[in-house]
Amino acid sequence: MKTAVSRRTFIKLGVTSVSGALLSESGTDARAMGTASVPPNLAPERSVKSYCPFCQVRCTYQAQIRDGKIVSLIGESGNRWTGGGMCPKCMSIVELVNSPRRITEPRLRTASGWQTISYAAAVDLVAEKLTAARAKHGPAVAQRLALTAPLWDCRESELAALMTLRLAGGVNVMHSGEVCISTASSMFSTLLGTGNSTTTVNQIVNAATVVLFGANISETYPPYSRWLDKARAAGVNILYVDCRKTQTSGFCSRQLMPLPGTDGVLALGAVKYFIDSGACDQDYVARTTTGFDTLTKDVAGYDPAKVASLTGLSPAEIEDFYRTLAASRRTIVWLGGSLSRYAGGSTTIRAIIAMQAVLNNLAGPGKGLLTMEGGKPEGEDEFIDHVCGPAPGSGVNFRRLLAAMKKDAVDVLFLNSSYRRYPDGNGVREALKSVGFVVHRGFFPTEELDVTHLFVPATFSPESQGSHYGAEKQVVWRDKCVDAPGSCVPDWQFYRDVGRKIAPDRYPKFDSPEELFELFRQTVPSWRGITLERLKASPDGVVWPAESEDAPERTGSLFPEDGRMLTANGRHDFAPKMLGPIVWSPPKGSPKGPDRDEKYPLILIQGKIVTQWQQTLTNFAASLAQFSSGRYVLLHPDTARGLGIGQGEEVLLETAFGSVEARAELAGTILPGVVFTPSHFAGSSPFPQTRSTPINDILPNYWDRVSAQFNGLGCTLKKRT
Amino acid sequence: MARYVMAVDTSRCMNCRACILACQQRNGLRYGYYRNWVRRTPDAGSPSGFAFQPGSCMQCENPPCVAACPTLATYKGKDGVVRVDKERCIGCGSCVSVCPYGARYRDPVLGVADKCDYCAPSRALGLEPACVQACATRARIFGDADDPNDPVAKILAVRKVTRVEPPEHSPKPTQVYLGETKPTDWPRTTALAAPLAMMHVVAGAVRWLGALSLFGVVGVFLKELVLPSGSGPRDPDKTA
Repeated sequence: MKTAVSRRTFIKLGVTSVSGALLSESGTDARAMGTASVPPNLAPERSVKSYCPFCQVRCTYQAQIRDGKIVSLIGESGNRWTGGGMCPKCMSIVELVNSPRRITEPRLRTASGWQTISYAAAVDLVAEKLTAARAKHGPAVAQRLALTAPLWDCRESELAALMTLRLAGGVNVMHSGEVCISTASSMFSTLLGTGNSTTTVNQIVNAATVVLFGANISETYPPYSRWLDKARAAGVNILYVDCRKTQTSGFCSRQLMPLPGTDGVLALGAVKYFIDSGACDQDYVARTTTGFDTLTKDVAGYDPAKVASLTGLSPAEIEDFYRTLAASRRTIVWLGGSLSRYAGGSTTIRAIIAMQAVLNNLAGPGKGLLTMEGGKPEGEDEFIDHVCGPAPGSGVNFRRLLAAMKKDAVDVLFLNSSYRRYPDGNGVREALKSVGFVVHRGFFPTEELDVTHLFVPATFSPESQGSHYGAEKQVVWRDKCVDAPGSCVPDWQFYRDVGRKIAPDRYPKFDSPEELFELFRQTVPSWRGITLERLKASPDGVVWPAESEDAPERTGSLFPEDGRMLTANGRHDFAPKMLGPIVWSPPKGSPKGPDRDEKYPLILIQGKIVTQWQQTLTNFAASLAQFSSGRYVLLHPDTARGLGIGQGEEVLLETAFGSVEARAELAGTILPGVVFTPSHFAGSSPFPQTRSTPINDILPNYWDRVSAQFNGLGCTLKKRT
Repeated sequence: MARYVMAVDTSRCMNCRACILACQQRNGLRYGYYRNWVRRTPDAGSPSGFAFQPGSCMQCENPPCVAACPTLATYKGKDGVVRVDKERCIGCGSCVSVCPYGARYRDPVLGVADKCDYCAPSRALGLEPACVQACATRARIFGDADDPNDPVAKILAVRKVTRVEPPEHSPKPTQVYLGETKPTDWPRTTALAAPLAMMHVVAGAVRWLGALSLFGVVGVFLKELVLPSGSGPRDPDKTA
């Protein structure tokens, strides 16, 4: 068949073809620029301000949202504390929010198993239980109700929950970190008059020396590594005290590796050295402290030889450490949470505070104490008392609450976080089964369901708006990013709805976190200048306190220039009567202590790793599990050789209270005779890489006056056959 | 045109792996598949006992992946970035097997090669590459090496750089390390496996046949230009 093409048609076709070829060539150029148009499946539709719900760094970010889902996060580069950096834990929120494993409807335990009920029915049931407990016990109900934090949400949710508990007549609140890391906060409060860091992190670049006392910043708070990096670049001498070499070691000029639980000995020896060598600032001590004579007696025995015998360090490196500190004009000590995790942690913290005080290193630029376990702005108690009336008594800590639960003396418990964060996990589980009614606010099918009567699903932080605070006492705001699935509701809504049922006339009226925030701001004078408008406009929030909008921002040292403390008399008492003398003793059950068991000659320590934050959340993220390979125990090759254990072999980690399976990881980065294992693996994890018997299941219920003991217990390792 | 380069300061890396997860989420990758990495190597001389070395596609000047690609799906742009045209990629894996750095993988669902392109789609929106943006210590520095005001150009002007490259037949990586980095001896030159090399020959033949066809089309084009099909004596029946 012959095809007829006219000259005009042919020329048209020719022009079209040549144009197409040219366009094709320009297309190659376009792609070669590496800026091809955004694929439709990647372009976000909108960006919403939010923050990470996990650690106290409180990273702020812009959530990138497409098709009603968060697809990625972009750190706020204008956040002066983080510089826009983030860590994997924060980014796991993208996956957790969208997880198909979430439980999205309330569940009630019945004789025939779990029954799905409506949110309204769940609220009614909780209100009935609270009302019935109050009717039965009258004022005695105060000790029969309890609530565990954190709530993983926002300040307004915490306030709503506290108001509900107060109006129900209860007083027992287990605050965040109360059981494991609150010793530092407690000692700061008692001795210095503040429960928080005495300065802000940006001051470390103004220090001559920074001592990281058990503070593994790079692993537990990665975004704050930028401050170590800045300090290093500024010529600050960064010293690290930790029995393990970690990622943090890379930022430090020197590391001391004392035996676990002996940090207090090192600090007591420092105080003695400063006094004996004349480095002590006698004028400052006379002006701002009391009890110096008692302190001098308390440290008298801690010469370098004794410190060496207890810490395992050499006298030479101890004296070198002391000389460096004595010569430093400005020193900041950054306290790790691990210091609070030994029985005797309060002694350690007291000794370190004294070490800073005698050299006049508590007040002023480039001086002070940092802890990641504080940061909470004040005003909460003031507000609750104002709105709900005074508390009908004092609350107890978890140790006493546990005893009450075992005696069937707790009627309603709001379990907002994992019970596996407490030592003696099995004992705690059994005690929880004695509680009349356990309401669990959670996300996933975890072990908490075993002890729960009513599960009411919570929202992840991007599913509701609200404020929060960080380690620098900065208050930040987040907007709602996405809708929550099913009947998941934020804590402020759940506790408000319960509160309205039990005290309709007294529970404050608010329909949003904004309204509650405003009520709080109007009530508490130190918050007046922290307006919603300022919070919403700022990439890193507003630092508390701010009595007015034009009040100068208070960062840096908390103490006035004359060095007075914030205590009632303006002084730091080295020897308050309520604490007694500073007497150091080994951790309970330590292989180095008088109560040692020869069958368990190794020292067990645990800690967070970079992919973990609490047991109920991060274990449910594949994005974090991909970086993990299950429970391991880190031990020195010399220790392993003595036990006949090879690299990567399967072992049983045993204490006198139980055992867990683990894989042996051998490295010279840990002190011989010490075994480290990560804290937060859980048995309910859907991923084998993060699934394990909780480590706290094999720890005893040991406490000091403030915190529980998680580290320092004797253990052993056995090859699995 | 910009010449994009990434410079990595390993002394600032703490192996938090934020860069890896940020890359996966920004680019919609599946967890367990990576466009970038942090190598963790025991190093007794390092304070932490380990050397951490972040990396990703080295955007080589002479990329073996480009040479190995039978369909020309992998190409090096004028901006220095090696990219994959996923429409052209047939998922043969040639590029994956010859990369000395293991910087590529085959997407298990899409069946095509995937690699770092310095977050090209989101850079078009004005964002930094995800790994750069998420890094708390700014261990990865990215920008236009030809712009003297760009941070990467400034730092390259004053810092010694180290290239991590195979001992033989270096593809000349453009991603560099500032100062020292460990280890430097891990990339390996890999020859293309025989079946994949054969595919290269077959693809060449197909392209040759394609060129021949094009030659025929051009011939017809010229013929029609000089003597159009309709230029002969008109059909009297159709001229009425």
